[in-house]
Amino acid sequence: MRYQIAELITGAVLLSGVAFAAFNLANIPDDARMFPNIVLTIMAIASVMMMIRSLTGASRRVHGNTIENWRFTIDPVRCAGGIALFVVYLIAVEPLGYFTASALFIVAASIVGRFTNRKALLASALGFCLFVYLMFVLLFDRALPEELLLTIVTVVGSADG
Amino acid sequence: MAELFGPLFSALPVVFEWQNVLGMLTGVLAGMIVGSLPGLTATLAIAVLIPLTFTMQPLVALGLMAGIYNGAMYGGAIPAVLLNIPGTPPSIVTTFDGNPMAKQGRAGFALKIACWSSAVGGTISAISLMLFAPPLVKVTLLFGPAEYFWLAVFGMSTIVILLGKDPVKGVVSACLGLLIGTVGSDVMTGHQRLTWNQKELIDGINLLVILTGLYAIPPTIRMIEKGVARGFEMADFASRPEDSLRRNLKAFIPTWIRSSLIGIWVGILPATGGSMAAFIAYNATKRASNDPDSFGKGNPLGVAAAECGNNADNSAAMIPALVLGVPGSGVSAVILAGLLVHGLQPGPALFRETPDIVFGFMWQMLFTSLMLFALGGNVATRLFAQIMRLPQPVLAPMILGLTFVGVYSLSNSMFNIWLMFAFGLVGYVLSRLHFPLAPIVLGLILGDLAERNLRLTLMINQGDWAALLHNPLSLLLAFLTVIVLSLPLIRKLVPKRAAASPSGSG
Repeated sequence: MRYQIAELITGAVLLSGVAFAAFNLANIPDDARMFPNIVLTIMAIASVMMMIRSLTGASRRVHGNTIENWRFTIDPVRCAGGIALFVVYLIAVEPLGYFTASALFIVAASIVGRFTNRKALLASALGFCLFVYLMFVLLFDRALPEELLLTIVTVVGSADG
Repeated sequence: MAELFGPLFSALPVVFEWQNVLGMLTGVLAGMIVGSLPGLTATLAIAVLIPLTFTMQPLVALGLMAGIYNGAMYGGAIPAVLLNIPGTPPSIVTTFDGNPMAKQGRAGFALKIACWSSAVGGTISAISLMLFAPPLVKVTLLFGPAEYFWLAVFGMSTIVILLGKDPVKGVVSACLGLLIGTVGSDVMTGHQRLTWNQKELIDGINLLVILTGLYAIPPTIRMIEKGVARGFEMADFASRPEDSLRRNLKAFIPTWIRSSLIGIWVGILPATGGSMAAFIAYNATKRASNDPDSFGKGNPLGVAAAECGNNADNSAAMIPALVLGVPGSGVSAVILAGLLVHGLQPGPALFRETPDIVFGFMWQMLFTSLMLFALGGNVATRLFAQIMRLPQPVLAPMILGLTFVGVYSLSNSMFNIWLMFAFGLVGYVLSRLHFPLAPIVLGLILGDLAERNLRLTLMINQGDWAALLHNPLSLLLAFLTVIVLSLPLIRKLVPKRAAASPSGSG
């Protein structure tokens, strides 16, 4: 039942996406929209077929008995927690800087995943930051969001000087 | 003959440049690490790697990819033998006899067999790539726009229908890929398509953003969800005197030859992959054995067949990808994307204009297989076995941190990062609902080929759609496409008729 509901919701989202995309393509020349329109038509037909197969139970039968115990997530709290943490990381990475945000993210995500060995966590976070710094900043000269702490230290240092 | 294979040997000195050797070595080690971690696949590792390597020399990047591909396929055997958990999907077949061997105190021998068999399978497969790809690429010179259009449609149809259990979901996935591929300015008219006036989308969505999102984020979310796995009982590495390569070589050779040939054949076929190669090779070895009942109870030949079969698939799967630009599996699609990122277009031009790179890549597939002999020994395997103890909730944020480095450096902006995150969430939902992800990548890669050649055919023939079927080659490809698309229907009808006929006749 849960699987069927999830499939029907996905089908409805896909059909809405098709309509939305078709609306966006309406005002461009026929030649430019021909191919995307063909794809959208096939996608709409396939989405409707998917919903029909879901309603008739055909899409569940192909997976056998295993689908009876199907759940969208293994652990909804940890799943939501992991995704939320990643969002926070992406929001924080520019103001805080890549290394500070990544170290905090590693510690926080590990705790969400119930790994709480403090020494190992600290070593992992530091080791990861060191690896990225040596490999990508020093060796491959990759630009990463600047460190807030470093900026503060530099500003304070130059003010003292 | 010299014209066909001369460039192959000319590429050899380039492969031995120290940067390329280092790339291969790092790739094999990284691949073994990835493979030995259940939940991480070669596809994920290569998807994370490509954005990190796009500023490198193409051959260094390709060496890394070749190493990861071959290394991960062997690395998957380590948890399969020691923990009865397949490290990569194809190594599930290795658990059948590998884990019973470990329980009998022969884990060290089982891992040695896995290492030798992977190396042999990978090497023979790389030789097949070298032998078949150069002559086959000549055939593509017969292709015009209509044939290329049908080739793209045929390639997508095979993956959509044969990969995954539900072809309708495969069609939806392929359409998603095709649609995402059309985002940006239309090359012919300059009109913006599906950009919603976002200036960042005018040049289209970077393939790497989509690849990383689809292949790296969903597994890492799963890793955090699963939390810390406890209660693993790891077998020891005890090895008996009779478990030496010299004593067992004769017994393994027929299995290696049979499994390699099966792996190569399966690899060339579209939408099959290492899992199927391992299963078929295992069953063929069991059927050929004098003692089939011993399979599943710790028969060393079972481990040899499975590992040799799945590694023999690796290079062979690259034949249609390099020659036609039509990848036959998810991993080869990701490697093909890696080629495209480095500005290398598959097909005759790739062999003509950049022979050092394409033939160099073939050598890299060969050498990375041979490196397994050196790097997959007893000591190394003991070391990689310890990697399985790494807690996945700690690894997951590290992988996400690495994807950030790769994708951020594409444009030094957060737009691509948020886009990657969105694709990651879409990939997570789709994979939970059993939508195959490979057709999305294939749609992205082949969409441009299909659209460009469709419009070119129509333009040349004043909009006449029948021009798509004017010559025998395009007719053949169209016919094959129809056959492939009808397969689900045929599968449904054939068992019904078979079931109906005895009662009908009786």
